[in-house]
Amino acid sequence: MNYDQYIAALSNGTVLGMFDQTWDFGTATDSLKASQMYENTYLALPLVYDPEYVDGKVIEEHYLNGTVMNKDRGFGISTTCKYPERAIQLFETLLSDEWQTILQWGIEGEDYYVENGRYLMTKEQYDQRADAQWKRANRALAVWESCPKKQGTMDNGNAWDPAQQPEIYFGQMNDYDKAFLTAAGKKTPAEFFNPPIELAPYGEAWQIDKGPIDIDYNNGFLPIQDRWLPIIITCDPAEIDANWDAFVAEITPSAQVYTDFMQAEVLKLVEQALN
Amino acid sequence: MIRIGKTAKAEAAAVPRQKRGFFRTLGGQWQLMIMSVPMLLYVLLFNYGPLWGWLTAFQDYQPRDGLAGSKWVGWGNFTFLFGREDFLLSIRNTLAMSLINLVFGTVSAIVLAVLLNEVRNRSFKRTVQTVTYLPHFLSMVIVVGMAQNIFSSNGAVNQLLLSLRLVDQPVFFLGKGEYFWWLVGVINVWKEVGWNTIIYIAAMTSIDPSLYEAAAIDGAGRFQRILNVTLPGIRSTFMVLLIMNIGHLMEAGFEIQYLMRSGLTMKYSDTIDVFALLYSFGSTRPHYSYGVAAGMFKSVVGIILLIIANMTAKALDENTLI
Repeated sequence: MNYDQYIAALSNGTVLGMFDQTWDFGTATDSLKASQMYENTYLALPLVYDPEYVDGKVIEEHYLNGTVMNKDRGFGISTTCKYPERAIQLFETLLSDEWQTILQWGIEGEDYYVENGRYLMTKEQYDQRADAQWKRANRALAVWESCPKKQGTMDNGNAWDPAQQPEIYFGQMNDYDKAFLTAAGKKTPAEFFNPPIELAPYGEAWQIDKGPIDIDYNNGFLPIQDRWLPIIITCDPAEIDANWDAFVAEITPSAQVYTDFMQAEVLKLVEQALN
Repeated sequence: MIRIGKTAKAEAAAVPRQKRGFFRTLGGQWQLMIMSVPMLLYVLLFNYGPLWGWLTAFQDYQPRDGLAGSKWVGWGNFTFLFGREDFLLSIRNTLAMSLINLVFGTVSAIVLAVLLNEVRNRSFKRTVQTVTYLPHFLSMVIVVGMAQNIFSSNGAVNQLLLSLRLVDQPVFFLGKGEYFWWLVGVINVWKEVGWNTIIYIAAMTSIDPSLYEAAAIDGAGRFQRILNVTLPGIRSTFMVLLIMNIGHLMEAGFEIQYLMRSGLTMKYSDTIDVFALLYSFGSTRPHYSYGVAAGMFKSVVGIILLIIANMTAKALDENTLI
């Protein structure tokens, strides 16, 4: 199964659950919502080892992270740029409250409305934001997805991200999700997780640039995983151990390169943070 | 068609050759020269010009430093490639899929052409020809999408096999690496069989009808006429196409494998082209040099294969290309 087939299966609602991240299957969720198959959308759950397998130790999960600055994306200004100040001014303008509101909320009266100082959306206005076609035509995604953006709460108390505005979040929630959360005794899906812990000063490992080992990682580590994991999952239960051992034997060299590299990089970050 | 063969040679011999200077000939044929200039420019610009890029195969090429500033590494990229198991596998896959395509494609095209040649009803012949060559114009994306549906575990083929009780469990055609080459062969035949037939049908129409009549008078039945008149009649066409195809042996295709590959089949699916793409652009940073080195290896082997095939044909006194 390749990625297209995977997304197709998720979009049909035929998959019960998987190990993945929201940004990797967002298109599938969007199309499920568009066809109102709310009972087939996905809920994130923290995954921890059963204490039975880790010498009885109870493992606390820390899946949620606090707000962290994403250093993954960026823009460069070329040395031959005639007016570098103007380029910086452009980003300053894009980061101004006015433009951030336009990029995140849209045009007042057209994409959202204001009531008693609260920014609100009708169901129609909110739903069209999940429509891939509408997004392409209206949301300037090429700029938006890589330009600096504000998150959290505005000075006037509204959320920067419409999806995080409480009125909208609870207002747009479909009956299925409402009933589901009530039955589970939770207010938001995030409550299925432990609250975020304070981040260590050296940041997060996913932000480390894996460029120096990318052949080992992208053309070694990942393909071996892609090849073996489906075999291990679908094989005869009697062969699982043999397949698993073969997988571990094959992936160990590139996994070693990866762990050595990450270890060294994390140590560098810790050192930087301490100095 | 390329003009080759004994007839052309015989004509040339029949005309008495005048000894003329190169430039006088050139002057005499200036209209032809002007007509060939665009073609010459096209070949120089798009086929020879980009060959400069092959230099990057011997460099650790960084776009920032350019061709002049990048570090030279000699044969380093090639030793790297031949040290990777997946590159060696991609050579094997390329050759295997090419051979399957060559055999399936040629045999199916000749069989269909012979059958069509025997059909006397013109409108039926035309219809079959049109229907069989239409898939040639379909995008590979659509063809692979259809194939994935047909061969999936609950697709048409599996339903047929299950209902005929030939298997008790659906067969994972797309998930087993061993099936991948054959699937590619089948899909290519479906897509290209009509198109490949055209050239053979054209060759068959040029066979002298009196040969068929003579064979019939001598008591040859249908099958004997096919064996002794039709097949020898398309022999030179077959040889030329074979030589050309052997030159393309290192090109097993890219789209079909790239679209149909998955984690389970990658050991059988990745051709040199797919390998070049994955190593050049599959990482966080592009590694152009690996891709160029793989492509260059492919081209050089292709040229060598073409020359060998041509020499063999010459030695066997067959029609040749060069």
